[in-house]
Amino acid sequence: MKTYAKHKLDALRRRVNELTAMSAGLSRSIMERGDERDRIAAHLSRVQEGTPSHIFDDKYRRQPRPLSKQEIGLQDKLKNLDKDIAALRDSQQKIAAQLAPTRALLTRCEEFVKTHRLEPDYGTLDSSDHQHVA
Amino acid sequence: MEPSTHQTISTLREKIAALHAERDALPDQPLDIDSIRTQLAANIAGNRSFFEQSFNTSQLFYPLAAGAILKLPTGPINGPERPQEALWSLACWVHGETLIDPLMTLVEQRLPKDAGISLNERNKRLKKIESELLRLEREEEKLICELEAAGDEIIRRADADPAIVLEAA
Repeated sequence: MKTYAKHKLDALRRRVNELTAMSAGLSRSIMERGDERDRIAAHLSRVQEGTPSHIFDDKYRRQPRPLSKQEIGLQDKLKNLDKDIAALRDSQQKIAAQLAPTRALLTRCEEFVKTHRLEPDYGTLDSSDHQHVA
Repeated sequence: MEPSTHQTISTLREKIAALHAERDALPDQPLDIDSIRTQLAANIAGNRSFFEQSFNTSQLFYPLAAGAILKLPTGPINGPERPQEALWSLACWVHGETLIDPLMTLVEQRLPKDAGISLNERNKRLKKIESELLRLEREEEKLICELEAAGDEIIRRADADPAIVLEAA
């Protein structure tokens, strides 16, 4: 009977799950910051261009006005959000660069086990397996 | 100064990639005249017996071959959509080894003299590459495991050999 090291396949699965969760977390953060960024940018542009904030305001079209102190602060926040988003996207790309080969290898390993009808070898338990057994 | 484990793995990976490329290029290297003749003879013999077998066991191949000759439409019911292959099998069955010499004359006209490697040589090279790959990949996996045991992390190659990664035995 042919065997394979189960703890190594489990470790690969765990790693893929971790990376997938990290990537999803980063996606959420990017989306949240992106929404906030868009809200701020839209507000500032309305103020600077005097665009009405609602379609029915057309009749009472506002005039452009200089940014208030608070809105200048928002401009800084906008820049910081852009930086944050760029950094998050960078991290996401790094995660994706790890996730793609790890996932591909996991798929190949799972197929290999199935094709060769290998039995799990529990000979070398790792810490999580110990917890599981306990 | 001794190279770090990461550096060693990186060097091993370069060697592995080079061997993969060499292995993948091997089937595209032209064979020498003698090996082509041997392969052609084997191909003809194989197709001949395949045709006979298909004919004898009333499988779907014979009607397909006949259909190809008569230019009848071939569909999924009549078998594979490869009329050229069917015709080639029929030709092998009808003409057998007499096909070898005229075809080899054509091959010799096109193949540069002393070009190509023998089938034996190609198989030998392939074996050598495979055994070297096995050695290098085992070494790589051992180092990766050492790094992981030390709490360091390194991404495995997507094309790593599952048998080695999973220590299949």
